[in-house]
Amino acid sequence: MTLQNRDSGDSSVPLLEVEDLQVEFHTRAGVLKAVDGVSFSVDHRETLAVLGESGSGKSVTAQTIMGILDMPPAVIAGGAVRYRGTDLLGLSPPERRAIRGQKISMIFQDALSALNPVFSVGWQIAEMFRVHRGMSRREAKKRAIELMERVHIPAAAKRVDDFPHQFSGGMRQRIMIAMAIALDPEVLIADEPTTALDVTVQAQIMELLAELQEESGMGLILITHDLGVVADIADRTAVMYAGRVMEQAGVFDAYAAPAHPYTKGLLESIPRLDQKGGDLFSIPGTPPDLLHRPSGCAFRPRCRFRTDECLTEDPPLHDIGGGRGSACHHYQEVLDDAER
Amino acid sequence: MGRYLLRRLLQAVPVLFGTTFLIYVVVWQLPGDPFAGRCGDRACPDAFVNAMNEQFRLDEPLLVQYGHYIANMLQGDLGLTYNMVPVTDLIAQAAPITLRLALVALAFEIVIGVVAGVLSGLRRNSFFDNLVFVSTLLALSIPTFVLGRFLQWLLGVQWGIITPSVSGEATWGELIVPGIVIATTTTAILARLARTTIAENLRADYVRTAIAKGMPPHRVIGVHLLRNSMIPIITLIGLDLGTLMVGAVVTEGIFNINGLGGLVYDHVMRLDSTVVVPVATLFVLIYILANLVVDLIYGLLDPRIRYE
Amino acid sequence: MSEQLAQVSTSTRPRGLWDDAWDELKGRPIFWISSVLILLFILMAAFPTLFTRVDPHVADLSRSMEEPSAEHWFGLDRQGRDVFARTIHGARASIIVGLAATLVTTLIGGLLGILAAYLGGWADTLISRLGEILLGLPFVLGAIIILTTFAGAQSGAGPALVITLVVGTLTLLSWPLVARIARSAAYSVKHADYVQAARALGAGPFRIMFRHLLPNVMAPVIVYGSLMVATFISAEATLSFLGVGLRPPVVSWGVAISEAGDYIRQAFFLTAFPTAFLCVTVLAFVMLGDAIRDALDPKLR
Repeated sequence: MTLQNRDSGDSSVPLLEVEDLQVEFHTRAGVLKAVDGVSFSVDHRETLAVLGESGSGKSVTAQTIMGILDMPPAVIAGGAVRYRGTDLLGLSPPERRAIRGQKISMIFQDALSALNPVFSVGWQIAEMFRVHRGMSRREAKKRAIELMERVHIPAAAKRVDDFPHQFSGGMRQRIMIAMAIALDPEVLIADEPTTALDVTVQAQIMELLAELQEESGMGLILITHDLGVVADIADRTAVMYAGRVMEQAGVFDAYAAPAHPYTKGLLESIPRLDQKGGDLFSIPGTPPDLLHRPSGCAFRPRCRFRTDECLTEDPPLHDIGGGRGSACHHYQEVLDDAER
Repeated sequence: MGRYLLRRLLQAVPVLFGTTFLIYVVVWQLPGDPFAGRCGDRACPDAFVNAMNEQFRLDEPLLVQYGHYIANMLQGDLGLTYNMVPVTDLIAQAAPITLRLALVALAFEIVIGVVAGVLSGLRRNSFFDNLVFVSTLLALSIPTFVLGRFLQWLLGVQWGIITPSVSGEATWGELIVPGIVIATTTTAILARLARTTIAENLRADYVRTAIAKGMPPHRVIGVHLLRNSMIPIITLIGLDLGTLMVGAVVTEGIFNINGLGGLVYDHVMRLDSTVVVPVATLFVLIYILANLVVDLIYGLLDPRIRYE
Repeated sequence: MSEQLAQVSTSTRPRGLWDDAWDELKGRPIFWISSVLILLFILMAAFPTLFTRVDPHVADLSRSMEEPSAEHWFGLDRQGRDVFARTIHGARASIIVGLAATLVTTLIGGLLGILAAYLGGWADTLISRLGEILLGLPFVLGAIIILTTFAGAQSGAGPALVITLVVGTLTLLSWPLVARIARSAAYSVKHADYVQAARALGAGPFRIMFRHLLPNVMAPVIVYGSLMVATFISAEATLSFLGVGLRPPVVSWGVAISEAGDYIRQAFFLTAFPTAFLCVTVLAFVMLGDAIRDALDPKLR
């Protein structure tokens, strides 16, 4: 439907752009910088994988884009989230609501708790059409069935009146996806969409997301801690650590030659079939306490490339060419570091 | 559903028999001579003793007595008071008044309890929330009889807004203050439950989903949040219908209301226990029914409950 | 409800739970206010003579219903007894009944609940059914029936016996609630790996019940128990007010309110002082119970 004007949009303005985003949590123990100057963008037909451990600020970033952050305790301290050039952070709540769910939508990690337990899945999908499009109950239900078919739920017409708890984990996530794509959004944010699922089901969900993106041309932001899951369908990746972007690169580049010690560590800790028998690597140390961020580079205490410079100078995101960026003083060294 | 209902009913049977048996034993068996101190200050009239003995076979073994008692009750015959008034008549007169009182109390409980609880749950730590918290604290700390006596004195004696004791008709208007008195504790408990439930569900993932779907606030709260929160709230209200009818003993006594509670109160005070067993049985029945209804409502409200 | 309680207790390590709870309690003014009040009332119950030298039983009929004065702060009652002294001495009955009934109820209910969960089968059925039967009995009505039956038979009973009777009645009607909570909390860990492991290592039934099930039962039972004290004090006063609980010559707030009730028009102060003490005591225990519940049940912190 909106497919034509999508591609005819102003190509100089990114579809969705996050710029220097700062989100703080004001807690009893002090101010915690959950997101500290994060920037990235995503375009039509593009898939961005936002990678990071829990506590890296990736989910908070996603919630800020959606405008579903709990404020308080969260406070947006600065930056912008631009959708087609408009800063969403400056919009009024009703204006924001018109974009949420219709233009930018989101799916969550745990579909069982994210779906309302007391309404049938059909009702929950149909709600999108009834509230945003003013459709009648019956028509909305018909559309809900079509959507359930589109996300490959078997016997959709029969199961439309079932409740979330009557579905398997994978099917529930499909229902979440159906709900999220109901109004043909231009951006879909998937926050750890497969973490709670079995490995085989994970792949199926990823395939489904790729297929839907192919059909609609939406931009996709995949938030995950698991590089392996997204490698096949992501185009670019932004690696986050302690509320910052550590590295930005095409997925292939990042895989082939990481330019940040953290990315490198993440890759090395994935078990590989071709290195059977070897010791599994893990990044030493633990993620920093965001209330007491180390001076200089936040990754320094766990880094094997660290120097005295890292103790005092907080590295900016260096442009290292080829559309890549790395927030490491020693990115060249990391790039040159021989294959394990 | 039908099978579930049947099973729940069957489960209720032993409770009904057990409880009534217990009451029966305590009232008629344990005192030794069942007529000692039963008829107020005087000895029991022979006519009464004979009538009771004949009807309830008080000289026979306990189980036979109880069997007769149940058989009589099923035929609608509950015996006589020592003034030779049929207990059935007394109960028939009193029950509608108690039901009316319980409905007044329930209405108060629902309106005040749910509204206060929901609003304070939505605005946690606001001034209103603190006000509700302090009010529930006070409501839970004032024993019902104290509140009853106090309101009777303040509104009835000092200000003359209400008549201190309710007339035999027990009109709706007269029952408002007694109804509030009965409902005070349960209202506070309901408000607290509603507050906790709302505050908990407000943080639930599905509420976040509803917001992410672009639903307007009135829909997020009015449909998604409330529909889920109503499950425990309605459960408690259902149970309270029983509690309120039963809780009327003290309040009906204070306000001189001729309901079931007042009936028990009067007869206990006059040491006439003939009324106590049947009324208590009736209360147990109400309690069991209320439980059953609540179970069913629960199943209707929460699709996750299965009837098997 | 009980399921949620059980979840809370399984998800937290016992040690950490109590430490956290204490940290939480320490920071709450409501905890300190209620604790101080309760200590004051316990002191009043234990050593009433610390607060008043006047004998609560000394009557001067010629000064019946005298208004409060410098000499008699709370005035004199119908028999010309000092209301202040009687109010102070009245604390004892309330505190004893409230604490004793809670203690006995918690112990019996907790024990039966753990037994029901541990033994299962017919023992579980028996305990659960018995509990349901007792819960089917309306609380106040049940207490009235029991107390009139027993007290009617022995009208000359001494104060100790009457207090025992009241405590027994309250316990009898309330233990099933505690048993229900304890049972579900114990049941939730009965099949937990660490209990199975202990069993596999040859731990006997007592060890399993007291070392493994009991700690899990403690938190929810304590939460419930702390709120129960207030309920029992209120119930004692109600029963005494109705004339079926404590009765003269025992000095108690419920009795005092009952006696003063007929003269509420002429002498409001007779009702006001014991009522105020009663309500503040109940309030203190409700507040303490609230604070303990919030500390031990961290769901909404």
